[in-house]
Amino acid sequence: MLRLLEKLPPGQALEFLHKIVDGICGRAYPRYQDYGSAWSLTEWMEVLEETVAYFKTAVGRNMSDEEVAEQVTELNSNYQEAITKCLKGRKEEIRNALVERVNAISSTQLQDFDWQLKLALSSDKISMLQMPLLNLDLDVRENGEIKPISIEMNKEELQNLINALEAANKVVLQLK
Amino acid sequence: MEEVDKILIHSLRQAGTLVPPEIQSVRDFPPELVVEAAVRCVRVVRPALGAPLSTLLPPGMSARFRLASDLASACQELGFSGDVGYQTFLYSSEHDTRRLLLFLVEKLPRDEAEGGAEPPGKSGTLLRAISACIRDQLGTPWVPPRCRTPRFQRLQGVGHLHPFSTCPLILPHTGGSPELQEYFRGAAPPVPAQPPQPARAPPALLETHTAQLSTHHNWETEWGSIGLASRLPPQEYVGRKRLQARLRALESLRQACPPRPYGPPEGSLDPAWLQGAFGAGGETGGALPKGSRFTRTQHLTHEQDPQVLLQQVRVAAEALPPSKGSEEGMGMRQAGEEAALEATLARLEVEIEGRRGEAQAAQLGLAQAEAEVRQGRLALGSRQDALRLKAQALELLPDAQGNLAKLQLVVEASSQRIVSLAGQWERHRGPLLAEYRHLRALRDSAQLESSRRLSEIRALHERSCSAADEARRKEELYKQLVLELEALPRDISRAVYTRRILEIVGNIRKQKEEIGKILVDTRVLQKEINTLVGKLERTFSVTDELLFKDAKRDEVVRKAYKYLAALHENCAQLIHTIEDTGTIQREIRDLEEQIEENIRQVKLSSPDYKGCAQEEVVADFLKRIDCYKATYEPLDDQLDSDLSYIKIFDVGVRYLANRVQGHVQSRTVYYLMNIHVTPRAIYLSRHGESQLNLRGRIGGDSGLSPRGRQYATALAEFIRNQHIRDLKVWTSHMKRTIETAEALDVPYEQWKALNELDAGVCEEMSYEEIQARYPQEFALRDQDKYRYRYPKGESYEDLVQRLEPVIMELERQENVLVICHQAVMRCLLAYFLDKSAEELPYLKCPLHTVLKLTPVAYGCEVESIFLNVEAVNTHRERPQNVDVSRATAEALLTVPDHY
Repeated sequence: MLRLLEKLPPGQALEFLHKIVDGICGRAYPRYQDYGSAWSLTEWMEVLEETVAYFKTAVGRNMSDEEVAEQVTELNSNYQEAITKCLKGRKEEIRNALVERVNAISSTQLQDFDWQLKLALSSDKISMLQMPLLNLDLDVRENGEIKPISIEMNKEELQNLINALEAANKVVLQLK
Repeated sequence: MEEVDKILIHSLRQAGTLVPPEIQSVRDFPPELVVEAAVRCVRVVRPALGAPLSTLLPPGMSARFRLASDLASACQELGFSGDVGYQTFLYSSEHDTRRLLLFLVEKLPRDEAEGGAEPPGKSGTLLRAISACIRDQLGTPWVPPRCRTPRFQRLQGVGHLHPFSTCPLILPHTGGSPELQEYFRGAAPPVPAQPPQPARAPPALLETHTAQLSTHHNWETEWGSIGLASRLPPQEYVGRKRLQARLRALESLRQACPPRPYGPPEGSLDPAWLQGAFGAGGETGGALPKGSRFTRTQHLTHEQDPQVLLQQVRVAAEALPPSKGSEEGMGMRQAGEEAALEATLARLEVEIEGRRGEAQAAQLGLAQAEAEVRQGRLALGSRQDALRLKAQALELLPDAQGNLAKLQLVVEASSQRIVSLAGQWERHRGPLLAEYRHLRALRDSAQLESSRRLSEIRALHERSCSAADEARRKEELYKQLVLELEALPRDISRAVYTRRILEIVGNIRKQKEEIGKILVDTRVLQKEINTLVGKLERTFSVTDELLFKDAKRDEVVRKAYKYLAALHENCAQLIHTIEDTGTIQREIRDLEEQIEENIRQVKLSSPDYKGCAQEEVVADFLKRIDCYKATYEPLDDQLDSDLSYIKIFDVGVRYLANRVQGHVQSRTVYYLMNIHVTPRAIYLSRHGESQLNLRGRIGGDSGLSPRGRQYATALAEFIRNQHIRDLKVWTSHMKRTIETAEALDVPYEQWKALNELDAGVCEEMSYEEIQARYPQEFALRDQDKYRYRYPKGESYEDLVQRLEPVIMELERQENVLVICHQAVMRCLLAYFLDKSAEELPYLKCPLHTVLKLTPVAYGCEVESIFLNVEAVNTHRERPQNVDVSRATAEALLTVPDHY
């Protein structure tokens, strides 16, 4: 089923595989325009899907080297070698990525956050305010889409949030 | 100032002065602190000057004085230009102290820190770069986006603003498989190239580093506290910990899930299953398939059970082999076997039970699986659909050009159809629209027509209304005229009037002819006189010439000339005299006419000639004058100079008062000189109805009632309609008359003399109250109302005295409106109508009525005009019984109604 991989020049195969692993690990997948000469669009989609599925199954099922090799016997030995090399090298990384994904079992999950500290000099009611405000941006993944949530807090509210998070962290620590 | 003080105190602290923390401003500085601060500053600035000075203020007054003076001179030496002396330190004012301390603080050497050594190393460089950047940004003013130069764009643009988001990085590290090392050496991209966008590299790096650091820290602390205590090598410790964590997690998961009696067929928890359960390969990793939780629970909960069972079986099998014991042990063994068999049986039963349960579970699983399969099929169907769609799209893709062309053709065809449809629609629409417009125009015109008709009908209606009104009016007029006609005596026919009118016309014509004749005669006469005068003049001049020539020679002629001159003179005199006679005659005629006019004006209203015709009166009176001439003779200035008399020439043009003596005579002269006979009218009116009038009370000084105000406006209207020349308006000093006069909106004069009769103790009392409280007074008043004087008040007699100047002024004036009160009006009316003192207090002067008095000879004509505004009656007639002992009912018999 990974037959299509053979259309790629053997020198580029390893690089391509590594890029796919990068994509699995949350970085950029390889781009079609770089490989447009090798595959048509349909083929490209197929090869991408197949390769990703293959890597995930191989690492996720915790297959032994023989089992892994069995699945790609139909391929040229050069490609087989490249695949084995790549898988052996990046196995731990892929495993970590998959574990991360399993961890994100709940419906919403915090992906990233950013904060800005602002000093509000005045408001619509008070001319001299001098109040520090924290703008917290949360990137939350909900049903597969990243949803930005922005919260502005003053000192007390921020303290409340930190207290709540610390309490949560304590519970997590107890679990360890 | 607070900022300044804060800076100042901070600087002083740096100079070594211990400023207590509770002191926040220079105002709170005690003298000791001022001295200490100043001395310390001086010491820092110039040690030579400050060394001999003490920082402590000595207790002795003279020592204090010396120290402060030294300090002041030191400050001056340092260059302090302000006014400084011992008082600056000992008896300091806030302002002076602040100035001095500011000066000293400025003299202090600059702080080392500002230009000093910077922190070395990478962080120092970073900090420097950051501060330089911030300084750069702060140093430039904000510029609107369109005006930015590239430099400003770099500083203030949004180009360098990125979300601070991270992505996982892979960093090369030692260890791991040789393949990994190879990867790091060759294929791995450098860190900045790893994130999808270059801007995400720094946050990603930061994140990774922080994560590593915190992991390291956590491990350190944990190893330091718990790890060492376990006395295990680190790897083992970690392994154990991981095992524990997994167990605990399983425990909690098992608690969270409902228990299930039978384990699944699989033996262990394998990651592949987890992978499957958690959507392996699904890019949308978050969304989990439904129903999988139960499956998961099965896996997690019962993985151990089969192992337990196996163990039990093994134990049982070990127990099975029979032991080769002694014979006597046979029975025992058999018993043991029996027991074992029984146990096995029981176990097997249990096992069978378990299997049955398993079978049930399997059935359940089967049903579940079937459901899943159905679900999967459905999903497959939808996917196939999607696939078909995609395949179609892909099929179309290779022949993109051709397909596009086809598509374009289709599109063009449909657009053409749309165009043709639009054309058709236009074709249909045109006539429809026209029809619509036509109909609308028709409707509009119909509307216009109807509105026009409506207005016509309205106009007609109005006209018919007005016509009906007019008809009614005319009918009334006709009725009135008919009535009048009936009222007229029947015997006087129209012919009489006609004849009389014709006579008058004839007379006029005759008179006109006569006048013409007279005029002609006069002209002829004038002409004759002129010719005669001319002839005379000529004759004289001719004679004069003739005589003058001979006069020198002949004595007689001279005499004759003298006579001629005398004659000439006499003749001129004669002519003059004749002319004078003419003028005198004319004067006499004028005078006679005047006398006749006087007679007509004055004597006509004389009681002697009541009911006589005008001509008769004149003739009769002329005769009477002739009789007077026969009997009387005129007063002579010289001969009668010892007599007392008053001569009035031409009704007040000239007065001659001769030997006027005494009060009565002089009052008479005064009176005669004040009266005049110019035709005029005096209007007398009471004020409008007052609040106290309404309540039936006398006196007081209340305002007008609503009806009173209504009367005031009615009076104003009435006066306006009379068109009176030079009308003077007089009021009293009381509110009700002034309010009435105000409505007239003309200037008015206030007379205190016109105030109402003062009722003394009875002011503002009703007649009933007066009767109740002063019955005797009430009766006495009724006995002689003219002379009765209220206790502490006035009588009518007093009022008449008070009114005399008013009356005199009234005589002098011409048209006057007097707005006054009941008693005052009675007095004035009595004067003009010549009523007696008994009549006076009972004259009827109702409210809201104007009395118009027109003075004529021998009296006044009175016209009473009610202005049609209702008012209470205030007139109280004299009761029959005026005895002091009369009953209350009798006393109040004539009291008018009131509220």
